[in-house]
Amino acid sequence: MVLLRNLGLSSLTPSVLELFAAQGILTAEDFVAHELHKVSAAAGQRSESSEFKEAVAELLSYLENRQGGWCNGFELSQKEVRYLPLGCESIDNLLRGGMQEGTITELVGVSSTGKTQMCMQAAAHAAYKLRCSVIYIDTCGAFSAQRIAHMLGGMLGSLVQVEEQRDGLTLAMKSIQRRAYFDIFSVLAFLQDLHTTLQACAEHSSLRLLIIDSISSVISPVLGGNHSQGHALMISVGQILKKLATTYKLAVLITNHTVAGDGGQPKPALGGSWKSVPHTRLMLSHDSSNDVYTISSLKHTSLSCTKQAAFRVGRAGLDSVVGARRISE
Amino acid sequence: MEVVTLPLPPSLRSKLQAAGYSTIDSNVSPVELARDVCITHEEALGIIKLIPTSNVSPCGTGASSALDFCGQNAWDLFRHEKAKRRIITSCHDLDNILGGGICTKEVTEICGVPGVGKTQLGIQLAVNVQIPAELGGMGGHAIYIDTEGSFMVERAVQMIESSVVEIMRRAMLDPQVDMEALKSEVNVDKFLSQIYYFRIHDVSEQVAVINTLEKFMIEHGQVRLIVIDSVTFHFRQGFEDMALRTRLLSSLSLKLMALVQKHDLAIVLVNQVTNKITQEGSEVVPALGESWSHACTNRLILYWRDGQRFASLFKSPSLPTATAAYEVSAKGITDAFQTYKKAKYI
Amino acid sequence: MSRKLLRSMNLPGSTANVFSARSLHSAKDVLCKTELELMELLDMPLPVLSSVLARIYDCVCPPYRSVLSLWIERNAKEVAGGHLPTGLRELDHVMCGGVPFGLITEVVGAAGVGKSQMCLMLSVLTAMPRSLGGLDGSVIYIDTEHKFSPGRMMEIAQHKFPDIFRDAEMLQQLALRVLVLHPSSVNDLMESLRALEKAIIERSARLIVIDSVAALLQSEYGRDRIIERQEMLGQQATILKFLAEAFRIPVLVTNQVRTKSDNQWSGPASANAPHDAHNRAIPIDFGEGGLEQHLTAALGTKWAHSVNVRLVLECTVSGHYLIKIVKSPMSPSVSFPYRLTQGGLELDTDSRPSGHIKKEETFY
Repeated sequence: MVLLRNLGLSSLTPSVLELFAAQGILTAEDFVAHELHKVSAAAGQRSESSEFKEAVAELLSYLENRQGGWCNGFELSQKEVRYLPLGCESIDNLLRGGMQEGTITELVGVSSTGKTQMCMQAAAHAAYKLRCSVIYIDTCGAFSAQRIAHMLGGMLGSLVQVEEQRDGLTLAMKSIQRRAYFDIFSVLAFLQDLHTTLQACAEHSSLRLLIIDSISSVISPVLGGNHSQGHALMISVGQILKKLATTYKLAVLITNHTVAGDGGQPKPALGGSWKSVPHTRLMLSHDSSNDVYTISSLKHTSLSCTKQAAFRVGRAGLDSVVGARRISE
Repeated sequence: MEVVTLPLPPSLRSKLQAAGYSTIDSNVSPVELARDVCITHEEALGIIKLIPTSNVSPCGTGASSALDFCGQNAWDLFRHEKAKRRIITSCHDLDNILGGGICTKEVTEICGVPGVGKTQLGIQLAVNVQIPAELGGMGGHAIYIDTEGSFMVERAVQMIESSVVEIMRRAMLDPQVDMEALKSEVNVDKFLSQIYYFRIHDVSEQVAVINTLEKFMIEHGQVRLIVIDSVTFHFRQGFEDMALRTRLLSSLSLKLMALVQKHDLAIVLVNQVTNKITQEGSEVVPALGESWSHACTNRLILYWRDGQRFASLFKSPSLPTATAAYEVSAKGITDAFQTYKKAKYI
Repeated sequence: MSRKLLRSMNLPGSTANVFSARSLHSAKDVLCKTELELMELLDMPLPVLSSVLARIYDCVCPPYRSVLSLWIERNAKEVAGGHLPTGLRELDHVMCGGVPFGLITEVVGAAGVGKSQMCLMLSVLTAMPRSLGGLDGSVIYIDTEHKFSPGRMMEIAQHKFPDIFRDAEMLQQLALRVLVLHPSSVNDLMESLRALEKAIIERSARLIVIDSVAALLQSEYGRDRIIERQEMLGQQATILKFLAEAFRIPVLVTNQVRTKSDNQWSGPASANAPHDAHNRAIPIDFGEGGLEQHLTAALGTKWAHSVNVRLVLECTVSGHYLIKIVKSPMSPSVSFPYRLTQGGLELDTDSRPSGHIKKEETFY
């Protein structure tokens, strides 16, 4: 929150601001943190003035407008929930439709388990089939436009020779924006910039998918050490991603790597504080003997975590493998 | 912009937060800021300069920065990727599985057991990057950062000698090539002079050299390949704090990635292998742990099987996993012998 | 080793004080921290920190050289282009002159094949004047198993160069050129290695021999202290490499052979592993021939990475001795039969060298 005097409320005259400042209230946050009757008591005589009462009233209504507004469970259930499918049947079935808009989906896995392939598949599918624009933040040099082209070619199938379809391919590729950043401050600056931009023109934007591959490679170098700034930065990333997802109904797809967990089994990196950031966590693994990639759900807001899905990575994208097993508890 | 997300020293950050600034705008006045926060004008200006300015314009009247899709979209990148030249390895099968050779704007890792030919491949690439552009090469210079002392000058000379012979032979078949001009560019001394050698003895030197590469690139604009042989050696001992090692390695790898993106450059990292104890016994895996696996764009693993050397592409964003056989001869890296000729696509 | 101190780098006064106030005195203290950690620790704005770090990087980064200048320098200054001729003609030929300077050459073999003999022979050769193919320098011989025998060395010298070593005086001069150290523990060994820099300069040493590198480590650090052992070994390797390169001298180490049952190595990883291991398993196979598959030099993969040249001495089932180049950046995979004689090792010139004589010589 900003300073009270920068809120642009006309009733907050200099004398009122001075009154507040005398009690250590400089921002709206401070105002909320102080109990109102105590503030009035400390203001003494001047709390009777209309100026003061007007300022308090305007401030309170400003704060009320800032919060999202209440809605009950029924209203919520009526709200349309849209999904962004990835274009691979088994995965979309596992997710009951795909990535839910307004949520953050995290892919976790050791190296070479298909995380980047899934991200590129999601981008290609969204750009072509759903005709939306995609922002792909690449922090590990893994984005390959050629691969996107293969995947799009796979979606076009035999139609790739037809002129209009080729234009469709070009258009789809032009709607995938790729940004390469290699430090956390640049990523945060970009996300903030995106937020500001979307604030100004959300209605005109066709952006529906934001991918960050991988978020852990910019966060892990700043975590640890003798300071807590890294942790604060990580939390800020989580907050801004959530804000972007919920405010602009974006589907956010991020990848994370693993660290050794209990019993030698890999667990998601970035620690316990990061756990609450993604709404959905999917764990990927690869079986090299039959070249099958398996994806299972570690955390999902509305699905049970007992199913798995399998896919292969083919030349033209991800191919479903049927026969997803149910993990017995 | 949230104050906590700006790269500020802790004292300035806490002063800002104490004065009520948990977010800050780029158009705040430095004088006002200095007065509110009790800092100097210079410090205030320094803070404001850190805030990225966004060019937000109403949609329809011009592109705003975050949603500006020009120059950074997949289509433009696709056209650039197709036009990229590659550095060949001199083994046709290996080049094939790599999609033509080592690619610029990518970090490629080569790992393998001792003696399998990692350094050989590194030296061969440092030679091949110099193949002139008119013959399909990159015509660039190379930096060889040697952390183990395994670079052998005699070997480089051997490889260059046979490479020069091969280049001249091919050039003679091409009527468009100016042989006289080529001779002055393609000779043993010239090639030797275009490989810049750094000998690194410990971790601090390794960190220092990676951080000075940017400056080096500005001074020597023709460098197209950097080989670090090996990136592992100094990090394998003297680090009790493994978390620190991981952080350092991650930040170094990010710097290398940023470097390749900024310049038209390929970086090849040679990595060692280590034994890992698993349920079945011990296994040979690339060194430096799981977190290092994310540091490279491509990973090539070299190994022996039945007395033959193989190279396996284990990680690549756009190429399938595949294996090729290769050989190391007096000329350098060469094709494998007949029995192992065919590259296997898994 | 580079332990450059910050105060020698002419940093601006105020900055230097901040660093030392936070106990950052050497370049290593600073460079082993990420930039964010430094900013938090030193409470320094980023632009100031970046410029200070740039200055530190410039000071610490070693200068570069073009390979051409290295090549010219070596040819001009060094014997046989930077090699110590072993006197075994065919071996020297494929090794481009002999045991290379600036690298660690490891001689591996079972007990009794002649590793120590080879060390003694090379010590004699090092001490010889340049006109006779030697390096005219002294030798530092680190003997961990008390196998060094002055008598045997003299015998080798007399046999190889009968004209020169006719009398006791010349033999004594030879003996004076060899400094023998007997470290009794691993710590002792590490101390000796660290002190070698001065010794090399004082004695104009042109060869370092360590016979053997494994003995003390294996006795003091058993199987349950493998990580510490590997750490020690790594440190040894670093010091030896540094000495070899700084002084452009050969370093010769000997190593025992270990059979497969002694370690946990279970051979090539199975391709049908039920669950994928955390990292990919790489199938390993140490080369052709049934014999070599079972010969694993002691001390493991990490040491194997540090050694640049590896020669294997073995005694085949038929009683013949073979010296084989197993790892070398620039020599083909050839083996030569040899005999153990009074003069140390001698190649068996009656039988031809065997190996992969293909159209293009392949390298191991």
